[in-house]
Amino acid sequence: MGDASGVRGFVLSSHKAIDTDTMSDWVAVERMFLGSKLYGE
Amino acid sequence: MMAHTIDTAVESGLFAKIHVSADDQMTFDLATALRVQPDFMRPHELSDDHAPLPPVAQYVLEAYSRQGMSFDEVWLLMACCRLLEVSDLKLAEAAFGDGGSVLIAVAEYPAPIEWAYELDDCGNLTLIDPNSVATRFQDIEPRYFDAGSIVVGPQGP
Repeated sequence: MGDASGVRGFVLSSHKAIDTDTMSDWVAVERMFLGSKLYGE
Repeated sequence: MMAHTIDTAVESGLFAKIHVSADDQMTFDLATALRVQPDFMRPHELSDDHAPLPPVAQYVLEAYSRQGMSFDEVWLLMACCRLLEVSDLKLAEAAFGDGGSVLIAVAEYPAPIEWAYELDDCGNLTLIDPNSVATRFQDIEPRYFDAGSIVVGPQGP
């Protein structure tokens, strides 16, 4: 298991997660905030 | 669908500024009707169905910066979060606290990922980790996946 990322999470009910079609785009925008944290470079 | 996310954000009372990234007049009019008239629209080059989110978000933040506006926190809410509730945003606010590090929404896997199978085109199952499948449910830590709906950052990227 890796080290703590320094990124925090809060838990939503799983039925509130979005559909997967938009996930790759969402991860891309998260990278803007996270820099190299969580997803690496 | 977008109206629900906007309504939820407005009703939460958490935000000093809500910006809807409008790329057409219909979206602009909808946001305006919901009391959050956009201060500007997306530029033409970011106004098609294939425009990725990062340059759109960057454009919005830079546009506000050019107007001399800065924010203590920046929240991104995915427009298609049909089931998002005010209580979820309040939960995020409490979790973010005084800021300092980025916060993202996650959801718990409904079953242990240690029990995962692959299913091939012929319908054959293969355990991903045969050693873990016998582990009792109560001995397995919950795992989470990105809910893809909310990210909160201090001052934005």
